[in-house]
Amino acid sequence: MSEDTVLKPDAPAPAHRLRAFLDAAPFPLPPNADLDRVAKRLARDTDALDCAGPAITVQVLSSFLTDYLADHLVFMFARRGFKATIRQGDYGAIATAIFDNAHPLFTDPPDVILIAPTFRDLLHTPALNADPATADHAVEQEVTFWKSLWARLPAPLVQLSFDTPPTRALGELDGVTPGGVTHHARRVNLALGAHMPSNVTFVDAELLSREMGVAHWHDAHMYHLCKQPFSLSALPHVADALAAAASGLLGKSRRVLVMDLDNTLWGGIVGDDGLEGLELGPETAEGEAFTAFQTYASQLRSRGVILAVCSKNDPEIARQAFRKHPAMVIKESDIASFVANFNDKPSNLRRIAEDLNIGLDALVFVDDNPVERALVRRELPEVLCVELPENPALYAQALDACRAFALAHLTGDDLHRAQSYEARAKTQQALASTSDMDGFLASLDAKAYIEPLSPQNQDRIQQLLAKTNQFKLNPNVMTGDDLTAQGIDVIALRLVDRMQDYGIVSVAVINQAHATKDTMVIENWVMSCRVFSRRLEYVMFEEILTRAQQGGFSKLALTYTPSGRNGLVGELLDKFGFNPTGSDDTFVRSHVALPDGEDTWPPHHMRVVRP
Amino acid sequence: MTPDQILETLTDVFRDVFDDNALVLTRETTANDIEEWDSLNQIKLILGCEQAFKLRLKPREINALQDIGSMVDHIHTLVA
Repeated sequence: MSEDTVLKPDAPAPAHRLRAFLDAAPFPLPPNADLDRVAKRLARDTDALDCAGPAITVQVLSSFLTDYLADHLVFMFARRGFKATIRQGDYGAIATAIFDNAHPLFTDPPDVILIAPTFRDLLHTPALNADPATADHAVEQEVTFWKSLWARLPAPLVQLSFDTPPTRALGELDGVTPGGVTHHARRVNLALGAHMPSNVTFVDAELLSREMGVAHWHDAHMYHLCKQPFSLSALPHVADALAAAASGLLGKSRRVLVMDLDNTLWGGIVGDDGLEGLELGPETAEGEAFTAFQTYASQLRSRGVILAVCSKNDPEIARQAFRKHPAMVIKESDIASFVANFNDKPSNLRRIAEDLNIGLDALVFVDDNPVERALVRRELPEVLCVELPENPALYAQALDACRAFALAHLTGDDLHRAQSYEARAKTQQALASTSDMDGFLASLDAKAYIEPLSPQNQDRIQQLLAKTNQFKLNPNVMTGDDLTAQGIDVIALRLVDRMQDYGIVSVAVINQAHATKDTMVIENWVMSCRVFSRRLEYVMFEEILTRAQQGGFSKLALTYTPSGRNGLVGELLDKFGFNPTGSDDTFVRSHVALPDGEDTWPPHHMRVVRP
Repeated sequence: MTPDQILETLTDVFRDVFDDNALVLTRETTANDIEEWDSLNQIKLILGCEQAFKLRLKPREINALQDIGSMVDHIHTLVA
């Protein structure tokens, strides 16, 4: 499809534009779908998005960078019939968001939460030489942790299961030895699946990674560049899987599989070839392929998907195939609505929907004939038309890859009523229970190393000072010479916890030679958003106060220039007792003591290590 | 590859990342001239250039460049 067919300057009505956008991503999603541009354009076209369906808010929490994924989520939710607003959590903050009663998760609950951990988020991976009992205990600890998070959920959750690392010290034995990470991840996934409450569902990361292929799931280059573990080309598929699971939770899973007959459920045309002429069963490769497809449809039926027939045939001849052909897997009694006549298929689909008292948006249609499919797609855009490949051997996989029948956990027709009731109940529950944030932070066993400027860390320090946007006092640039000037002191904080070494994540530059002799100036102070909500700002400020006391200062001064992105610093200055002086963004704190009594700061649970 | 050819290929990469077929790059163009040029798009530009020029770029080197002219010159040293 050329670009022009997707977007014309004299564009038709928003609904048609939406159609054109979504047509770029048929069901199932082709492996190399390049949807970057289309996803961005749809996200910008709010009128077209409005036609996608009910508006929902989706909160994404992850330990990796989710910005690129968010672009694709809007598109994929539109494809499933929702106009989604995506809220992204702070980088690296899954548990700290859920343990924080003041987080928007609780003050303004979303309709659905998406959590995307990776194997890097496993908290209790056993040692390589662990014995089975230790490995068992490690699995229990992970489950206990996730159950404590799930108990606080203010909204239904789709969670990506744990993937497995791309390198394995134990090699092929990593999956079957108690000390293997692969072994641990798989057992944790199984255990979490067994304990999952009704408002949580999973997307299986191992299956997803297999679909996308080794080259795209673990992309080490991408990960080191920007902390997104998989390649950009994998994004549509990850977003698709998450959106499909979410729409299941929100009650928009499809429920009916409507099947054409000739060359869809068997090879040949029953009206022309008769029963004996049909290809079905073990005699031929094609026959086997159609048997496999019928078997898959039958499996879907046994887990609750409704089967219907929509065929251009004489009804008696069509039914005879079900009754008489020895290799038919699907029985006539399996079909809830059997429509065989010579009317057009869109009319027949409407009739099936009426028969079953179900919406058109609950139907999935399979038909080998691309012309029939195009007609249905045009007349009934709410029906999911599967792009069956030419080879019947691939029918079952193509249907499966559509992820059309995600199991629903929430019942009830009124999406909003069910969701808001659940959300309200959970919110009340969460607010009433004690926050386990302190327990969680303590369990991380974090250490904050204070480092001075050195040749080894100078590059990183300058990079942090230059590139940070959200936690930054002012845009004043400090060169290498500025940092080594007389009277300048650089305080760098390196954060290490049980999970990883984050490197230097916060820098404050203090000036002990500047201005009046009783005021110490903080030239600038930055903190990486990777470590927000760890309470690291308290560690840094305590250190700043200590230096001020040691230097004989009685006041602190700094310049805070609101940039449009560093608003959170303003709140912090207030908390730390800085007051504006009314001239050039200067703020002053009139004492250098730590707070005590009622005003003490929350504990940071970190061990501070000085050089 | 000549610097002019590099600029042409670079323009293709930029047009793709910023989804703007009318985008024009000159040697003087900087990040300030393109509104959506943030750190997220910077990553896409680096990846796009790596693919288009078939080489690996070091983010630290790229991030230090001041304008498109220096970027063209930098790529020229790598492909020459």
